[in-house]
Amino acid sequence: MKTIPMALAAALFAATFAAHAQGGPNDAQIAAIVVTANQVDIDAGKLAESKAKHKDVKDFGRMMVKDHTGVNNSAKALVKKLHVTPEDNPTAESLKKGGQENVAHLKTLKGDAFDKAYIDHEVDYHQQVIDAMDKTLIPSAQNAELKALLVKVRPAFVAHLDHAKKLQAEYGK
Amino acid sequence: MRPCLPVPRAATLFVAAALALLVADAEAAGAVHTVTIDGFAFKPSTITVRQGDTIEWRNTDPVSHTATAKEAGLDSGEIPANGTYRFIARKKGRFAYICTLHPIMKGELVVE
Repeated sequence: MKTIPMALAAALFAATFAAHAQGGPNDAQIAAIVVTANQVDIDAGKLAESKAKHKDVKDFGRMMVKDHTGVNNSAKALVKKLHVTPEDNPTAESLKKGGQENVAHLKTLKGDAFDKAYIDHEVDYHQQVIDAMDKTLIPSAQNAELKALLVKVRPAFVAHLDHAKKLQAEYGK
Repeated sequence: MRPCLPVPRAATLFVAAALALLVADAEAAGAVHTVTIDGFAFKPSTITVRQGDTIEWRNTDPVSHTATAKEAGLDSGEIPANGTYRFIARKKGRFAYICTLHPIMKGELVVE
């Protein structure tokens, strides 16, 4: 039951990215996608910090808040430097909506069920963002500094995915 | 009237002593090596130094990292974005170290 909304959200997310990939988002749209992607994970992480049952899941949530805030700060600084105004687009919208739905769903859970749902989502989410970076965002970025920033922060998502998978082996699927 | 203290001479001696200590300290400190933390990786991943050398980790990532190998006495704590941490390698050996925040990040410190 619990996996249906998540799988649906994942499919919608992937479909929106694929649709975008055909034309390719512009730099202003990429900026909006990056900031939204980080913000979504910050919001879920804050919830995990306060609601997770197990200490290592709480710690993971805390790290997500800290790391994605750091990544977002550097993205926002670059956007300001480049005088780019992040432009809303279907992918960013879909990310935002998926994030809100995830947080709303997590709020209905507690204990082991919360930890499992949070970690399962983190694994799927980070995998999707990595795929999006590789297939769409990095190839589409026109500005060299924006492209370099994406390349530089990609390993953050890989490290988080690796960490989330380890927690998933214990508390998730 | 109290006798005048030979202040200028005392000051000169003090400065000379301080300089001598500084020079001795610099000689004892050995070479300084840099490891750059970039894109969630230690670069170079293996660093070889002589006992007494200093290693400086420079974090160029937008997030905090650590350089930790308890066995080597290396425990940087959180190195913030754009921060640095210096460590004097006092113990000889080959030590694997990690970022405790992101254990996927691995490095090796060789002290000869």
